[in-house]
Amino acid sequence: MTDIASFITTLTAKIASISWGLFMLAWSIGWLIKGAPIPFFRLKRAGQSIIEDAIWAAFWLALGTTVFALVSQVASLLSSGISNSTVASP
Amino acid sequence: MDTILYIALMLSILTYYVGVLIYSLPIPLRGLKRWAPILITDGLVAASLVYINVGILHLIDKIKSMLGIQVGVTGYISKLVQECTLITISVIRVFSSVISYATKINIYVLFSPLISTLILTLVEALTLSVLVALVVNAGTRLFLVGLLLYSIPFRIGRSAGASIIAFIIVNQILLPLFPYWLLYIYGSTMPLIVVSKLPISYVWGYVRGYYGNLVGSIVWFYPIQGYNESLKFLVREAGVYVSGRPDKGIPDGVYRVFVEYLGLWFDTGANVSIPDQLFLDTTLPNADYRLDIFVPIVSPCPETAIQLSGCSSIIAYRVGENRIKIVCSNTSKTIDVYIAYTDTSFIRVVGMENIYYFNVTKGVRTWRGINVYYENYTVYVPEKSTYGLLVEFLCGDIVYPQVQESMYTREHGFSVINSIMSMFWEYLRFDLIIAMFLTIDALLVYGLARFLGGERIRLLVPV
Repeated sequence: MTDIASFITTLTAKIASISWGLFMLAWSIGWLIKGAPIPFFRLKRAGQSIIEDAIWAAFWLALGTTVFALVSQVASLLSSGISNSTVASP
Repeated sequence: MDTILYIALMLSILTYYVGVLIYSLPIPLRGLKRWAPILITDGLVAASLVYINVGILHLIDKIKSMLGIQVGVTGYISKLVQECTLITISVIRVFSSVISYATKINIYVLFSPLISTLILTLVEALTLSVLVALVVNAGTRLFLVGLLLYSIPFRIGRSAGASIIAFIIVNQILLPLFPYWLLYIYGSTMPLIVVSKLPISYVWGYVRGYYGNLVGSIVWFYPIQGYNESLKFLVREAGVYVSGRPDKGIPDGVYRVFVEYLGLWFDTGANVSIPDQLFLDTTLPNADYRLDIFVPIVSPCPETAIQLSGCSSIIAYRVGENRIKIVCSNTSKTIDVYIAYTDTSFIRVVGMENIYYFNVTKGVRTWRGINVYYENYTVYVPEKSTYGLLVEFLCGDIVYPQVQESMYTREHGFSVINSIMSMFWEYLRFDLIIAMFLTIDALLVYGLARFLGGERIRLLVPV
């Protein structure tokens, strides 16, 4: 079972690092397409969407650890709230 | 953290990062990019569920305590299954005997609805017992497995996970309410006991003394409540009495148990409630339940008995090839020791410890055609002490006394048909009530699973 857990952890780490690389790549490709001297509006639009997505990806990547820490904090607060509150039985 | 829970958390983080990876892919395909925000949200929701799981389990407990559930559902359901099984078997037996009485009528057509109703009741009771076994014994574990399935990326196990989580949450709260549901709709928490018109238990058990089993004695069930005839059973080899099939069942009720041995009646001092105090035992094919009976006498071999009065505790143990020692903590100054044996066996007191005076009376009397020799010692001992009795014995061949055992056969004929028809209606009603309960249960599970985001819900209990 721990093998599976460590496998998933390493997989996650790999995916995160690949995501950083892909973000750089996507950002560059996006600007490449957007800034290319080709007067096709749909092509430029595609470049724009790639840049936008890449920026979102970078945002979520940067926030990843923080988001999960926040989730754990809120959940533990909720859990302790439920556990400690005394419910009057009829 | 639990391993399953840890893997579930890791999977939810993986889901999140896979979502981010898809976001950052420089491929402008809508079908692929659509997954990115979905996976990020799924990862966050799954992680929240993983972190809050202890809280959810606590919340279930709180709701249960708020509802004030007091009946232990596991015991209740297992009792229900036992009742259903026994009644189904007995009705099928009566049914088959009725067939032999009236072969000219096409009786299968007449009774097939009853039998199918009974089988349906049995299936429903078994379904409930499986549900209870799952929820009570494996509930927490299954909940974690549900979380694990829920957090697999690309929503692979989302429906299955949501179904399991919803199933556990709903049934943890709803199943203990089942007896109350019956009480509310049916007017009784244990309908089958009320319903059954032919309540009989097939019982066997050992009749034991402090040392050895009482072979050749008679167990006498004297009615206190319920059935109003006393029942007698002979104790055979190895000290076993059987009130077994086909015609020696004990009707339900409360009995005082006496044991007759060598012409003496011994009160076992216990009121036995049948079937409440019986426990299932599959050793004998013709008796389902076991009830051991303890008699306060020492019997080193068949057809011998030593009775001691005024003892707070008695210990009997072997000290030689054919000798036992009986140790007694006394509660009074005068103790009566009664010894009895027959032509075939023999008992003799060879030593006494801590006893300073005694009277002896001896005699012979006839007991079912056998001579019984008895010796009665009146013993004086120091107050609140322990005294010992060294006894020599010789075991002979066993002579079984002839006795007429009790028979209890059910009536055949129209009264049986009437009672069967009334049972049919009661059972039909009972089936509908369980079916209603299971339907409500399944609907709640379905609703909660949909709320948790499952799309194709798998229900354990089909509606």
